[in-house]
Amino acid sequence: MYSMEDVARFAEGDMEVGERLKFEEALRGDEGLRSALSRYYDIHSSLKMQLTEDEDDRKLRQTLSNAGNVHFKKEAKLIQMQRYLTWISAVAAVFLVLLIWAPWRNNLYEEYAETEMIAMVERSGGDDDQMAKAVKAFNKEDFSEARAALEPIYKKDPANAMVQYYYAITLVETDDAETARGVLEELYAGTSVYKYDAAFYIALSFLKEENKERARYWLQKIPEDAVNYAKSRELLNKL
Amino acid sequence: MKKLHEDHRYIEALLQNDQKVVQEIYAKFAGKIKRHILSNSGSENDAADIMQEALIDIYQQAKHKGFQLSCPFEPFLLLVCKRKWLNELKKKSVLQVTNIDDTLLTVGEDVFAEAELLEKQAEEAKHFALMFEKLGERCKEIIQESLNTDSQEKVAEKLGVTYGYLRKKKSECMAALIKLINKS
Repeated sequence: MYSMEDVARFAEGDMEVGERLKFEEALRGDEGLRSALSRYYDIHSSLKMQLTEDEDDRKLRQTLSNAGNVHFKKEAKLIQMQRYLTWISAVAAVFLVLLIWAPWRNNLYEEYAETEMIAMVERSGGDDDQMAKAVKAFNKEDFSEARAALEPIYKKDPANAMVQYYYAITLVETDDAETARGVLEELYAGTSVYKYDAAFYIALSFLKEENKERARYWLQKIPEDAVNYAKSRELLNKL
Repeated sequence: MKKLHEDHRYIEALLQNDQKVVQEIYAKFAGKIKRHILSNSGSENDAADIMQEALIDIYQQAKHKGFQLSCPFEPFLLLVCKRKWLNELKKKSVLQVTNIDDTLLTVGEDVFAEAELLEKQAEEAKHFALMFEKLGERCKEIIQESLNTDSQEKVAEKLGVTYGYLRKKKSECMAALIKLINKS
């Protein structure tokens, strides 16, 4: 009987000749083993597809986005740009604060962590009060209160990118990094303006756990044309 | 064996990053995708994102999973975009697809099957990646680095372990991951 480890070793070419020949022999007569092997290859290629990005991928993305800019009108992007601008100025403000604070801070996580929640008036039916409460708590850096306020909003509207983002930050701050990363990864998988902020925060969450390897991995996912590219590279250099 | 459609050249163009043909793809199909999304509570921006994501999915699966086109490209791409947009709408729970799309009725079975396969594989890959995140940090690191780099010697060097250890550990980690996936 072959184990899953054996299947993996065979697929990765890690068997000695004798063992390999025996395995191949077994493959011929064992359909279960054949399907386990093809499952292995399938999962392996899916992971490669999902978890890696090489130079070719980035180049194609650039080509597509150039073509997209030609064939889709830019007006629609204006709204988003304005949101970017709000964001950029907010980041600038945070930076300023950090510049002043930096000498007293030696912890990279704290240096780069989000310290201000900017409530963008996007949509929020009867949740206005709740949102205001969350913003207030967040900006006082009372993250458990902010978390408690954001949680119901998030549960109600789990696809709202802004809510996802800030909710996840409160989770990181209250030491529930695992749940936070689940939320952030979903955000990263989407197409909202928070896509790369999410990648950045996943990196920070690892940094908080002193896992520099995973932090680096996530920072590297931030492409050159992202708003927080410079910030991500700066942090990478410090790691 | 499915027969390769002549439109597979579009997929080849994506793989080669052929800017001219990519422009052709946009010139021919962006308008239709835009119309569909605009008439289904989306913006032009959404249309641009959906089209780009669809093309990236197709490219990724051609690159990593040997995806081959055996049906005409136009209805296939449109269907992939429509399904993507439908999923977006479901996520936002504003499911008001106002335009009952008559073109869907005229789409061939082969196109449906191909679009479905693409979607299924994309979903699966996402799910596998989620399961991957559940592994221990060391396993994640080893698998991630092995996926990033073809040379296992370099991976071993980077992680500061011996080549033999890396290979053994990688098999163990992959086996653990597959067990997780099979259980899920």
